[in-house]
Amino acid sequence: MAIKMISTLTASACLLFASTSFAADSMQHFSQAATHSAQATTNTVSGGVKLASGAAAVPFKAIAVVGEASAKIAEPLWNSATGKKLEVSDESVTAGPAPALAVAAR
Amino acid sequence: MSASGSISGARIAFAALVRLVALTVSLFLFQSSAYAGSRQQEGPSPFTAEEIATFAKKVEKTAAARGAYVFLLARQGVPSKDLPEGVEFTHTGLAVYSTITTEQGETLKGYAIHNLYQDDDNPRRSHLAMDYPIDFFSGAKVLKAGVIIPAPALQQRILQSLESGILESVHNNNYSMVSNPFNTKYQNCTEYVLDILFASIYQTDSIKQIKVNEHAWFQPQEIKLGPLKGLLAPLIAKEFRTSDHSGDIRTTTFGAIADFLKSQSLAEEVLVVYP
Repeated sequence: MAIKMISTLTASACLLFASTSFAADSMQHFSQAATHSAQATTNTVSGGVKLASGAAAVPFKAIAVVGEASAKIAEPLWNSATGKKLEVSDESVTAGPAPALAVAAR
Repeated sequence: MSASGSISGARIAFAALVRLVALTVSLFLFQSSAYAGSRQQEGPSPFTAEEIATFAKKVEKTAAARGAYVFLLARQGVPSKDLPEGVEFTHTGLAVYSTITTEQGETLKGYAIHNLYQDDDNPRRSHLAMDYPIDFFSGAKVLKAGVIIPAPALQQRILQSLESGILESVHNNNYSMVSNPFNTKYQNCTEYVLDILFASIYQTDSIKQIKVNEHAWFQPQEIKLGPLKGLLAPLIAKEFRTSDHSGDIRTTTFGAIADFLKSQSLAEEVLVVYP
């Protein structure tokens, strides 16, 4: 009986540990692995997918005008920009590991 | 009955109780960690880097083909069997068409995703992080994307809000996986996106005004856990906090946002993308 109880509690503890630890950091390993893989194979992961580390992202330029004082200028720009197919680069961009991991790795 | 018999019976009953609690805890843990969905990294991916990259690019191209400068993007961070009833996605972010500069100085076109994620070292706190589709879907347990493309006029307002710093001004770093959208005590990833939407619709950064309008117009989704899970949840999952609710637990979900935007004719298109 005692052994069964201990087994049950141990199994539960393992599940607790597994679910929380997986949630915390495992995918950062993925990001690191993917990035390292990309670096090792000249920005190409298996299957020919190109990968790059993103340093900055700025919303499309036509949109920046919208925030300025002249709404009269912004509206025609917006109207001409909407409803059209947008270009997306073939290269995939990744944000890399979490900052805490990046610092710890140095 | 003898004294030893009573003690033996009590031990058996106690052991059965321990086993029941342990089993319930185990089952709940799988489902609760699951529903949260706001972790930046949600466990080992069942997919290869190539599968994730290919799917993420398909999602980007699907939105771009529709001319979406802004869209709501959701992922399923747990197996379907572990999702609460009526919930289809576990994490939502805001995708914005952007000019992306790589570390190598190359300029690319694509979508950047603005997210609220739980802190790794404290699940009751959150931070904001921008990542990209491949990062976003690294946390997926099923390759399936929820996409809501707002009406162009709303997209324009969202972009105006982003320009004015709304991402930071509506963020509340007190996290609960089942936060009540009608008050400001806690916030989760999907409520964060809802707050950005309402800030943009009404062109305000007043969180008080945002909450008043949400209460008037938005219908959150009830999360049904059952009495035992409901009782154990706050004891087991630190981020399962319900003190902002009175009565039923109703929280913001991707589906509830889709229903709201459709009801107001503010959704250009709602779709699910598969590989």
